[in-house]
Amino acid sequence: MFGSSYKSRMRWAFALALASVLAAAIIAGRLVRLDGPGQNFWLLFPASVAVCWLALAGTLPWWRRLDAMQKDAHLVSWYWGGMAGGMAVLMALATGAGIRSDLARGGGLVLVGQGVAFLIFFVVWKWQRRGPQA
Amino acid sequence: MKNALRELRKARGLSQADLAETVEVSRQTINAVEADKYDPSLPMAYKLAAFFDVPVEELFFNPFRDESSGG
Repeated sequence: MFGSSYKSRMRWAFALALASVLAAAIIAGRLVRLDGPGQNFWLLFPASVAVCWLALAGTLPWWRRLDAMQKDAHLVSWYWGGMAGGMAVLMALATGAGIRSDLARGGGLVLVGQGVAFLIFFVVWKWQRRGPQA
Repeated sequence: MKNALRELRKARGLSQADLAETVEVSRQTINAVEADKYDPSLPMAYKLAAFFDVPVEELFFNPFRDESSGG
């Protein structure tokens, strides 16, 4: 089913990753609309986050099959491209809708979430690569 | 990093896609390494050297070797 060649396995892994993300977008999109804003927050929020994280798990086979250069390409692009794009949109929201607008605050909160998650991953990554003291 | 990947690959009559498939990397990666646009990771360098059955430094030229030994 998954083919024997590297190319074929990559295609299947990519298809799974894409399907996971699309499925998560549809399911999480429906979940957050199940009730009014703020209603059943502690049920719908973790459920929709779980769906998104499951989508990330669905991309793992694809990520693990990427070679070092492909991974570098994605890491570099996400860091520089993702940061540059995010900052541009945040500045557009702050200047366009006002710095105290819901839009700008929402954008800022996304950035905070990314920053916190980045720090957690950074610490774990470094911790896992600690060797014995000489 | 300068290397002899293209020469070794051609000597075996392999295309970039053939080699990429064999060592399980993308064709673009083989192309970038051959063009000296990307330095391979150690595992990738050893994998390629093992495939061609040559020491790593015969495949990837050590730019620091002369510098350190000449010291």
